[in-house]
Amino acid sequence: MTERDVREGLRSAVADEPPLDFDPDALVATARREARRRRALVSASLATVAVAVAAVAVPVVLGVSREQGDLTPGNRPVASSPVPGATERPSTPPASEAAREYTAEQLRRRGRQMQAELEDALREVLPGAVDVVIQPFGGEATGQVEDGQDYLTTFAAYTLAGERFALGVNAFTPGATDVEQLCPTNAKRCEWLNESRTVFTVDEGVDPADPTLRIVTVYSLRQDGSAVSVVGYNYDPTGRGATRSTVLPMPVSVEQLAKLAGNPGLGL
Amino acid sequence: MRQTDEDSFRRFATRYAASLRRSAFLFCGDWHLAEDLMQQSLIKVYRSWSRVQHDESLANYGRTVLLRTWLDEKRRAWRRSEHTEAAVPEVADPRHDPAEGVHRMWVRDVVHRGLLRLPPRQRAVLVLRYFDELSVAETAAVMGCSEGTVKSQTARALDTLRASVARLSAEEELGPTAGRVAR
Repeated sequence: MTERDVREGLRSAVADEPPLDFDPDALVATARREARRRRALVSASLATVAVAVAAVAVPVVLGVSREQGDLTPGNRPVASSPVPGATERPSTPPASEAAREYTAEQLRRRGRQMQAELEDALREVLPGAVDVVIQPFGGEATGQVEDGQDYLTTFAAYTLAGERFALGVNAFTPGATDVEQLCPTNAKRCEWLNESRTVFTVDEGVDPADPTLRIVTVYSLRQDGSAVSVVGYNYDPTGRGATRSTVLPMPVSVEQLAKLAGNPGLGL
Repeated sequence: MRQTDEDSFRRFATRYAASLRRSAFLFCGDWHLAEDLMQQSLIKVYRSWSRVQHDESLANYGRTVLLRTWLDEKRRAWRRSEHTEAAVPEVADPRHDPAEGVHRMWVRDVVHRGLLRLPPRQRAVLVLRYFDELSVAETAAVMGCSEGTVKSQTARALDTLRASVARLSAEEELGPTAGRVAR
């Protein structure tokens, strides 16, 4: 099969596309609504920004510094800084921060570090969890990474009160996550958390095939533009269980997810 | 957003909606999801419009947003479990003679089905290089990686696609399980 065959195959694959009923006015109306919703979200959080700024500024003014050690991906410190405001774009890498591109080997090594870190962190944050199984960090598939991949992802399955659940954990390199795009258009709720550079989104019942699903995502936005998201599920997405007819409660709180997402041992 | 900016966004959206939807379909193999991805991507572009509208590579910015929107979508577990099969419609192309039509149908069918078996970023690199006809540098910019990575991903993706197509062809000779696509 030649490159020409690939071109031909791709063109042919879309040759019988259904008609496009595209209304730019409707799209703009939807986008305006989204923009208003986001502005309201940011406005609601601004009242708490001052508190966050003060919490960070005071130690700085007093000259309190932190032990930082070697700035390898494994122990890069989490930046403490104010909640992003309306004019701030914290996920865009600062000019001084060169974009990071890791080799597959570096990613695998980092993934192993984070896997161990995550296991410890999960036991601390969810002390009641048993039968914890952390899958190897990977990309398109479990444990699979490629040169230049800008994220690592895994699932951590666990049992709590007799039910099997899991957490999804994603680490993104600087620039791989755009803060303006963190809130999916179909998310039920998106809010900035008060105490740190984190934002959480709530997706609920989006899948009409299974309205019992609940997903809560918390992003920790690092000052260097990297990000870590931790996703709580009220089911085990790694399992093969039958669809439930009842809705289980979300087994982790937003605070617990935020604590995991802000763990300095996680991140790229 | 100012009225003039909104007008320019409308023009951009109208001009690129169809091509973004086509790329999205090649990524995901589902026209409904492709339309959803296109809409989501354009809404995200709208949010950044005042900042990006004068960018020379505006179309590629749209492709970047689309790619990220799709990759994000794939990371959502329930979506992942939803798309386990891609039934590619088999519709004869009346513009060609039957023999050529059969060949075209085979090429279309097997290449896209093979594509859908590739890991997402390999899928993306082939769509950007061979469907959108982007250069290596443009593809690197869209995917947010180096040109070297684009070259190696392209070579690997072509190898994987060839192997996948060969397997699909063999399966079709073997019987009714042909055409099952696992993503």
